[in-house]
Amino acid sequence: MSEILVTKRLTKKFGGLTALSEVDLEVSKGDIYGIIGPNGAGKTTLFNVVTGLFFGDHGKIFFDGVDITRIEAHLRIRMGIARTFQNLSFFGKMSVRETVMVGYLCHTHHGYRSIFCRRQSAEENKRIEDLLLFMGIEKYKGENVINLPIGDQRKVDMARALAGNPKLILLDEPVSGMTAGEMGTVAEAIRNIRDSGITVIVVEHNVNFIMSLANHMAVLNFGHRIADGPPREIQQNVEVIEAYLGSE
Amino acid sequence: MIFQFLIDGIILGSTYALLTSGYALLIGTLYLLNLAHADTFMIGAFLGLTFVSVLQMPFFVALIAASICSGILAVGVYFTSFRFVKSEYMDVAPFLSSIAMGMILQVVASEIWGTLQSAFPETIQVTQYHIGPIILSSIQLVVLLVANGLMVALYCLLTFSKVGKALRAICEDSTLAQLLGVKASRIILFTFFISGVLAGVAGVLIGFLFGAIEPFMGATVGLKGIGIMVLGGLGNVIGAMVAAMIMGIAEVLTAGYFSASYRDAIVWGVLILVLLFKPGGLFGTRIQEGR
Amino acid sequence: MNLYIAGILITIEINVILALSLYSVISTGQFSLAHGAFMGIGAYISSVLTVNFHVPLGVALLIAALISGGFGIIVGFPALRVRRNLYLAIATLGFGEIMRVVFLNTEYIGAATGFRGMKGTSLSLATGVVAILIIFFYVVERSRLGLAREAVRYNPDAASMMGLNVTRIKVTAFAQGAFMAGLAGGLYAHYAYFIEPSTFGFFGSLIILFFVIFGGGEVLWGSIIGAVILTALLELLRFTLSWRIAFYGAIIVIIMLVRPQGLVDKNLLNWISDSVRGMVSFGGSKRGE
Repeated sequence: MSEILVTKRLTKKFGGLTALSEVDLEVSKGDIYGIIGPNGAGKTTLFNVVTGLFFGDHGKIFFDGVDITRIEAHLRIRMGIARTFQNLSFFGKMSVRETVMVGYLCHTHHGYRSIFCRRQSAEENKRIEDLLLFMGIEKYKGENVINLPIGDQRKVDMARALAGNPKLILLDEPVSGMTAGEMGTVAEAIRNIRDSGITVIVVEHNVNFIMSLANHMAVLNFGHRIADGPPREIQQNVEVIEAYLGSE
Repeated sequence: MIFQFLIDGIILGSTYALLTSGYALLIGTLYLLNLAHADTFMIGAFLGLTFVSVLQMPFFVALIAASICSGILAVGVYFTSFRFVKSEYMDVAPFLSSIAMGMILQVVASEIWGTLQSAFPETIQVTQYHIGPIILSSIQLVVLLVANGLMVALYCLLTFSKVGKALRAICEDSTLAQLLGVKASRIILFTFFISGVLAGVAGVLIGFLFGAIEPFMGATVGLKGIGIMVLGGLGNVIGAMVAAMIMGIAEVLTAGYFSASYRDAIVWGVLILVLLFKPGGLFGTRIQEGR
Repeated sequence: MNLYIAGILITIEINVILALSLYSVISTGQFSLAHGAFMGIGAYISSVLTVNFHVPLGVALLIAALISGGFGIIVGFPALRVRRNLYLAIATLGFGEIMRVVFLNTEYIGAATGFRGMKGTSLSLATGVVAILIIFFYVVERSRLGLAREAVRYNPDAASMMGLNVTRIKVTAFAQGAFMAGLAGGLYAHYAYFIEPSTFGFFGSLIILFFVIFGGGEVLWGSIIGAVILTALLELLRFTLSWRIAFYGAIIVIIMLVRPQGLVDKNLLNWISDSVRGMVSFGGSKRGE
């Protein structure tokens, strides 16, 4: 089974609005899989349904061969899926170090039996620092996340997502609001992540960024998948061009 | 028998409707719960009593005077508990402040009028009308007409007037409210005033209907009012009115056919069940999802 | 020790336990107006056990608290279905009202005339329980359970997207709160000798809410300070006689205007710890990494 994520005819409606319509996706292990599309195309909804924030109206989702369509969100995450957030969802005034730790919590005991354990053990602290180093933000470890510039906040989000040792990571607009230099760092990080054995799915507005990274792409428009294939093909796809031009 | 219960229920429900639509209005514009509302209702009742027995005003004049004073009182609560209180953490601060204001009002009422029940004077000749199997007293008739008349007026105000439309716009779209800026707070002030007036009328009518009032009557009725509002749908004034009728009838029927002492428990139990399965209330909320 | 002072201290300690019981719920982003009812459940059950069945006080308190905690689970689960704290307020309010009616109509526990005969809450017992609970909270807060609860409090959706079982965390916290409120109820009953339904109604739940929000809902110390200050305040206001409650209310209105986050918040705690650190390292203010 070389597909890590498969969706079949995935559909999600919100009242009268169809956010996803019969979306088929096949992401192979080791891919850097890009998803693009105009605003409102359903990209974030796709992530929300795959991770279990909402259940789809119909259709199926398979993760590493297992049907996860009706499995609850937190269980899916524990199976090895991680995601970042377009809207940078953090936890009040939490520090960077603790925020990254939250990404790992589900893999350790965190109930009453752990009340005498400090929030991060020495090993975990080391691992967190390694992740922060990997993303280039180790100097921030004690700061409140919300005080950081946006680009660095996104990096914290990525570090946090990696903390749980996922098999698949979903990045939602990872370079939104970043300078060209920062984007380069993130692109490098994404390649390193893929090289370490984690499959990456990236949703991005910045089409150039994705084109240079992804080995396979899909395009969404109005909830439909209108194209999928390697970046070169997508670039020349008429429907895709129209979709983008039409939305301006 | 059942028709008598129905009529009694409708009359009770009509007074609940007056009280509850005040809650619904405030939730709709502010997304905040004003726990002093029920005590405003109580003060209205006592003012009505004072105007009639001490100042010797005729009933309807006393009613209008008491309701206007209640409206002003509600505006006062707006200033002490809502206007300047930043609802930072979980929106609790204004809620808590309004509870405290309610407590203050209860103490004030106890000091002025005593903690025991006060008799509401008879101001209208009590005659009994027999309509088929139903006995309707003139008191009940007055309550029925005044309460429902006001509800119709409120409906017209909300649906047809400029202020009413602005109010509904604020309920449904808070960015619009921000754009309106200063005007929005004036509208909110007006909303508080109206809710106070309604509460005052409800208070006088309840006093009139039951013949006796006491400083803590706001407490139990107030809680039910909140429950009714949720049943009708948060911020949905029309829904609140209908739900109040249903509640009034349900209360009377439960007391009549099942058990008088468990009446409140059953009523709350049903309310919780409805809330669990249809959190939007019976008729849908009128406030945004995001807030 | 003077009996009057002992009584005040016991009352303060019971109120601190109640505030902590509500803080359990609030620290996971939930809300409850049912804590008066949980207190009542604990009070009545422990009283029946000691008075009618001569169960030793400690055992009776534990059983009563566990049953109250069980009710907390029953209330906590459906509570998760409602997305907003406003609905949670109303649902818990409703539960409180239902329990009020049950207390009022159950002859076995005295109905409206109440239940009497309980004794045994000594200053040392109350102090012991409070101390254990405060230490418990302190330890939990610094642990990974505390981290999980903090995450759920500030962003439950994100927390579930990170693999945390938000349902279990929230319900557990709710049950913990109910347990503690039941414990406080038992302690109260055996101090007051006599209990009746009106103590455990909506007003009781509101007073507990006052402790937490007035003191500061953001941090643990807020609940503790709030309970201490408001209880002491009510006692000090005795001289105002029948206007006591009005002054109490006025103080709350003023604080909500001036400091809506409550007396103690994170900024204050940080400021205090920074000042202490500053004082300890006389003059040379080198901030370590």
